[in-house]
Amino acid sequence: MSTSLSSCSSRSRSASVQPGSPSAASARHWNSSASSLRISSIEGSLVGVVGLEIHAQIYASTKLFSSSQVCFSSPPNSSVSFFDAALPGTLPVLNRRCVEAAVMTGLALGCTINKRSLFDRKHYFYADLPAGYQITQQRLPIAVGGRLSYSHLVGRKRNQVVDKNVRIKQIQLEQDSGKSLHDSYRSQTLIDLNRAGVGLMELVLEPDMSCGEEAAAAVRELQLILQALGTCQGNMSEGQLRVDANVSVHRPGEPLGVRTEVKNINSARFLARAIDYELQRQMAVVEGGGTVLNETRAFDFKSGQTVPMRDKEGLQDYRFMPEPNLPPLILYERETVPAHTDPRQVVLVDQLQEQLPELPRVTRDRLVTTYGILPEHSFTLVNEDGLVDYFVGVVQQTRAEPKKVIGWVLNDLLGLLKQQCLTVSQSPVSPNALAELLDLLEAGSISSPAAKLVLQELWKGSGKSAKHIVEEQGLGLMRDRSEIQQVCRRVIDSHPDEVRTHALRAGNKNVLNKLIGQVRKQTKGRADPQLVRAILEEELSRPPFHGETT
Amino acid sequence: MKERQLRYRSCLIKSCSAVCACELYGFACLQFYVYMLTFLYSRGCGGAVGWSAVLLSPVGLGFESRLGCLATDWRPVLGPTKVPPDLVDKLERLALLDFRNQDGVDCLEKAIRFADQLHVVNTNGVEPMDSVLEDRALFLREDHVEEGDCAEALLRLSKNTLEGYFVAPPGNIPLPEREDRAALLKHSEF
Repeated sequence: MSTSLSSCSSRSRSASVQPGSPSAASARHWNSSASSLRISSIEGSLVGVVGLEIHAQIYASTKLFSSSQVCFSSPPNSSVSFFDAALPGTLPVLNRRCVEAAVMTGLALGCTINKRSLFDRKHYFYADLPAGYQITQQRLPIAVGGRLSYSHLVGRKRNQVVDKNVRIKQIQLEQDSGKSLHDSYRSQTLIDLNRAGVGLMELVLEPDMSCGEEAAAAVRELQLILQALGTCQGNMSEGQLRVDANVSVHRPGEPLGVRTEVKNINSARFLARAIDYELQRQMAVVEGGGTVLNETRAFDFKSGQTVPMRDKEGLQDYRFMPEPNLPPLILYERETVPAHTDPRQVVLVDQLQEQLPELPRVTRDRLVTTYGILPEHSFTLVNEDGLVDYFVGVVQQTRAEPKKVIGWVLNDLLGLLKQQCLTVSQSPVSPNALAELLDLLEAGSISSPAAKLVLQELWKGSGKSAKHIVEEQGLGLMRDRSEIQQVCRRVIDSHPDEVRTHALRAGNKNVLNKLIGQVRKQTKGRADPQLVRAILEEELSRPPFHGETT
Repeated sequence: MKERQLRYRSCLIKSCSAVCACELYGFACLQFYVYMLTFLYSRGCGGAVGWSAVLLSPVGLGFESRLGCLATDWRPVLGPTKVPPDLVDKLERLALLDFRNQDGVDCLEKAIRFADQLHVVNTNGVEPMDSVLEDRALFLREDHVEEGDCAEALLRLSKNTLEGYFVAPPGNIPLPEREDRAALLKHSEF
């Protein structure tokens, strides 16, 4: 079994990969994302191997096998049909939308779609599984063998993009279980079956990743793909995307070590931390001479540690059995559909392939080629929901170059949004307003610092246009040479010491900049910086000076 | 037709040997058997129905007499099967069954020996069938909400509810050890 590092193909798009990054040959130290935890293998030889099992809730109106509604928070047990409650005499009826969603996801990830797939029963007893079994696809899933390409930012400034791949083992359709609330005070569990029977896509990723950051980047990319396809809303906090990590450590070249499963991870950020903690724990155990137990551990986000889960007793035997109530699921292409079949009863794979929307990877490449922006900028653009449309809207309405627009959008606009925890759709500054502001800047009516002031004003959302604000506050670019000259002379007069220093060391840059700063303060940033510099230099070099004794 | 019958029987063999070994008295098995029985009967495969009826007979504790009276001329094909106590324990834990005493385990062993009859049929090169519906089209339902909204009716079925939730014991209570189990069941109505 090839190690995780050698099996992923890492193409560094920008400069060479730094030695500290996870894709280097000897992973001695690397930083994880948010908490900057340093994972170090003391002997320098152990590497981590991370595989993921992702359950994505299919975005559909009804559940997988019954026509009760799917909605996030509704009164307990209010959208439960008799089949979901496993009352005797009920049978499963497959939802067409769920099949299409699974096929689209498989096609987007480059999987081979099995034209014939089978359903099985996985038996285990738990209070939130009313039937005592879960209908899943274990023998022959709907899609096998695909690839998820993701990129993550490395480097000290996090501006180098590294491409990685994860192989996808299979994608299968399965039922979700209900929700159980544990009431330890009264020693009971409260069961809500609203979620029981909702369609899930289980994506099994091969253990090609080596640390928490890579796993988090892969999950983020998958989230973007699923959201672009519309098959899953990908909201981890609402439980629409659940990730379980299988973590183990080993020395490169040796067989894989014992793996533990980490559950109860609620966000992408916690995913990276949980995996890194578990890797560090396992490395400490192995280097201390102990053996890692094959167990299931839960992640406690408050302490940042994984703890063993008490409920799992040894190895579970799920007694897989073919689902007797469901015939095989057959998918067709346009040529293979038998004659006289109801079109609503067939799912055409080639039709779905043609109808696939634009995937994030394609969007990023398109932005780079169309607008000439840097790859890391397009990475950030696609990462934020709705920011691509905003950016394109601004570029189309302004004469300014995309390179300048991207600076304003990513630094100023996004900075303000993040500060106030707003989404792009909630931005008080519309693409039109920003485009107008950039037009003014481009035309030279205002200076760059003044433009930032105007943006702050626009952000307050008073409804005034950029031009209006400029006129109101008198922020227009001061171009009148005589006026600037007057201000410059005033500044020179009020700072005789600096002038003398400038005369002594001719062309002292610091003094000049300080004087320029003073002029800017006096003119409230309205004066054209180039003109100010030129006039000041002229004034300073003009003999004789006031108060200068030759 | 002959080929079909062969496949039905091979289907039975695959499922029965697996199921017999694991959970002969399990509900899932019963459901499957009844389903098989009705379907085979409807297809007019009398022979297969005969097999199923015979197989169904060892169901339930204490019905040993049925074994003798229905199947008159069968001979054990493979050697006697002994189910080790660890496996019995594991089966009880997995399927939440109770073999109670050695008689129960003996019944299980006899049933397995009886089911070995299926190995008489030669299934070389025959693709196992796991559903008699394999040539039927799977019905695909449109994505419209039609069911649900019957919380009161469902909650009425449960003895113990709290504010619209079903109440269950905490987590998974592991099955107690054999010795404790006997003490637990001493006063039960069984």
